[in-house]
Amino acid sequence: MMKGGAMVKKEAKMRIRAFPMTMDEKYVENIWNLLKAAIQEIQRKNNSGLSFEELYRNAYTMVLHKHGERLYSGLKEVVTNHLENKVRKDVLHSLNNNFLQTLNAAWNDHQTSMVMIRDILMYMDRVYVQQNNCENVYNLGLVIFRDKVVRYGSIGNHLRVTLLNMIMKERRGEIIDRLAIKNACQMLMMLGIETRHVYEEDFESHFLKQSANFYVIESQKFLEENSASSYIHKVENRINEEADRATHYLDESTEPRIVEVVEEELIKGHMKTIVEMEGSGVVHMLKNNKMDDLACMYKLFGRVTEGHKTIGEAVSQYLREEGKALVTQANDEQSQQTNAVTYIQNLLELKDRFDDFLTKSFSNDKYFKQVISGDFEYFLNLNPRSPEFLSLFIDDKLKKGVRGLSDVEVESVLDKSMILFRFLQEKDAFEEYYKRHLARRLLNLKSASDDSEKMMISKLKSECGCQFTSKLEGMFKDMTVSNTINEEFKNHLQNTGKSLNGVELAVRVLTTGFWPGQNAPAPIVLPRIPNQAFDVFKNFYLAKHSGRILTLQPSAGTADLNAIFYGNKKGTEEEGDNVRNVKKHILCVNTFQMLILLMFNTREKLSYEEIREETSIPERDLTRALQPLSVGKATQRILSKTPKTKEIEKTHTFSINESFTSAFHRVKIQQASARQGEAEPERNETRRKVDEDRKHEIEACIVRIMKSRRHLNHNTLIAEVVEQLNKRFQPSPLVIKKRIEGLIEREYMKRSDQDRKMYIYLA
Amino acid sequence: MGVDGIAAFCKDLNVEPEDPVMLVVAYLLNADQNLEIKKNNWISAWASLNCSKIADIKKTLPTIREEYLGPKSPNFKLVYQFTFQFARAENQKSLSLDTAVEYWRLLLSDRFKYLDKWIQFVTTQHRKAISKDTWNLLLDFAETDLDAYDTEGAWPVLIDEFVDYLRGGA
Repeated sequence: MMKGGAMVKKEAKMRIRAFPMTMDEKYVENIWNLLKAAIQEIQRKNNSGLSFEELYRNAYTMVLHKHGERLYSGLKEVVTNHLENKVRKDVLHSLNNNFLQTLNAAWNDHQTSMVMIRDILMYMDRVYVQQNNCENVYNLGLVIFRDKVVRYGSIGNHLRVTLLNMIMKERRGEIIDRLAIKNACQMLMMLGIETRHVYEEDFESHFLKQSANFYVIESQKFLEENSASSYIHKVENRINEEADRATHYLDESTEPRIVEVVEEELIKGHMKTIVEMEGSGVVHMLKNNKMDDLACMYKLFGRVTEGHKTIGEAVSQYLREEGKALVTQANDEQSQQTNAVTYIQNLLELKDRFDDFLTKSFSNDKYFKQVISGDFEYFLNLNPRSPEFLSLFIDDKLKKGVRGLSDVEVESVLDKSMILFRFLQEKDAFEEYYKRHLARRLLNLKSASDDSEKMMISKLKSECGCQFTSKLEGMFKDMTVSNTINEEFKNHLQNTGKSLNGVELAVRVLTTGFWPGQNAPAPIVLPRIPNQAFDVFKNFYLAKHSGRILTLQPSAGTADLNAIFYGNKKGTEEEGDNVRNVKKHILCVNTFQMLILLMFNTREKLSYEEIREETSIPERDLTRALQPLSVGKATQRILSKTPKTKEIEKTHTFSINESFTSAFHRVKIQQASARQGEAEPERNETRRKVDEDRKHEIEACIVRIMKSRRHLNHNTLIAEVVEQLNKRFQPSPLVIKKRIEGLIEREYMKRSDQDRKMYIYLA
Repeated sequence: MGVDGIAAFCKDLNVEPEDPVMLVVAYLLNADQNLEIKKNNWISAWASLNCSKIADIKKTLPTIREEYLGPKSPNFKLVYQFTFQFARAENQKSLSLDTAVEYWRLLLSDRFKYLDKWIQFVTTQHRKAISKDTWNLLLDFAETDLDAYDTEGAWPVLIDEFVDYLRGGA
């Protein structure tokens, strides 16, 4: 151990010296010089010959005797000196040659020496520094290094410029010395002394700015050169690259910041451009089912706010156009049934397509789900015939003869129909149509399966409540009950021995309230025999259920008639006997047609007027009944009409077409409106009924609300009514207003005397 | 007192039977459509106005006129609304259009600046009887500024249509 020269020489006699309580200036000076020299040695990396204990003790002594300040400022001076005059010089020399390495080496050396210096001066750290609230030794060193070296004019600039250039190079694809940058960044971080300010100010903020500029330019270039999907992939790559960079050699905390910059420049600023790119944007992807590309876009855009919204808007616009196109093309009068089925089919396919997008590209995102639903609701209701079409579609699926769908398949189709049903705004119109179509199916025995029918009804029930379906269920019940009645009637006939004169009668008794469209029909004149048969049944039924009234519904009935056609007289008298081709057929006709045909049992020829007078069939029904029989397809022309025009006029006459032929023994006469859709008048009728029902519903709703609230102002009342009825249909404020006026007129409510806008309930 | 009595009464007062003040009188007397006035009503009405002789009644007429028909009088509303059931034929809920137009001319000429347009509108576009609600609210409408008209407000539909008619310049 080398001894310092300024040690006090002891006297020969060994005496324990009392610790000097005061120190004189000279003494202090000596201690300081000792320490100073030591520090300098350390800085020169010559610390191996130093005694830690001695130096520590000296520092301790100084501080103890209240000379801490001298020590502190002295330290400052020494360190500053060294850094300024030696280290900085070296670094400056290296500006163009190994700069980073030199700087890094200087930094490392500085750190090492400061640690040692700190160790020596630890007492000062603990006592003086605490008391005087100044930087501790190590931090002091950092500060000086930062200010005198790193932030020294040209060094600071050069450091920044070098780092940024290197990164730029790497972005362009060159290989750089990552480690050097890493060291530099770590140094800057540490120079911040528990903050990241130095790193931020000296490097990061400039880095971010430069990156932003870089990406602004790059984005323009990319956009010009690339399609939407390749642009997106490029962006993803860049983001990964930058994230990578940050983790590997910048400070970690820079990662989110730089990623944000990239997102900002490459995505956010250009969202609309990407989405709307001709020939490769969202619309193109949707048209060509590019699920993956959409998924990438979705993922990428999810990074920025409004990203999904931008995509969503484009999707919505496209979907609305597609939907609108489907919805407006189906307005052709002819072949309505096919139209309805294709209409709905197309819509279901569209829905499937977009559901696919939803799962495969948009990962079932709720926002996109809402967008799609909103769009469907929008265009489905553009066409006022949508409720009718949907009902016809379901009608088609529930009828016999549908190409053998299994139960499971039927159910899945019905489920999908329900989805469309939910989008309808005029659910009450749908109910009306459904009732009519169901009635037709039941009465014409066209239901494929009772179970499927019931399943559909229960779906409607869970969607809309019992009120919706109670009538439908009533119809079913009527059918079952009717079957039972018919059985009992048969037994009755056997037991009482009554005869119907060869008529086989099957009756279906319909409860008036449940079935649609049955208002008092015009009474027609039945031929004698059917009339008698009906009377027998009537008596039988009323005996069981007194107090009821039975009314025959001629528009709903069918009849099977045995018919004999005597054929044409063939050949001439020369050939002797006339050869007649006698044909027997069973004709399946409706009630009106039965009446008409039976008349020809007693007469050869009848005019339109005559038929009408005798049967009392209303004109419209009569014409419709005669049409298929006389001017329809050749295989159905039971009657010949004179003149042989397509139209039926009052003056035309009819006779049996004896040369009628048909391949079938049992000939089913197709009804006038052959397709199961509705003719214009019937549709108007349904519409009228729906409007009528709505009036009642609105009024009932108004009364209900007023009754419970007693008094309410106009706007609130309207709002409440709209809300309550929303599930069935959407009444307009004007219509509601009219109903209010009606109710005022009928004194259900009145206006307040003080405030014209307030209504008061009149009990 | 019946119709003839009323006619004589008018003559005594030097007032035309079509003068609106007679409507006020009818209102005060609670007369019904047929101008049948109960004796009690007659007595109590005039008594409340402090009139015991025809001369008194004549003197009070101007006051009545002012009170009930004056431009700022709050009582006008009462008379106006009374006129509806007064003018209505028996067993009818609504007022026939022609009668309504007549009474409107009588009562609203100075108060309703769009009266002529209104009459034109109802006679060409509406052509049906007038409901009580519409009648009553027409007065309110006459007193509201057209620019401040709120189409979403609680106005009867007919008045809404009239405003459209006015605005569309039809």
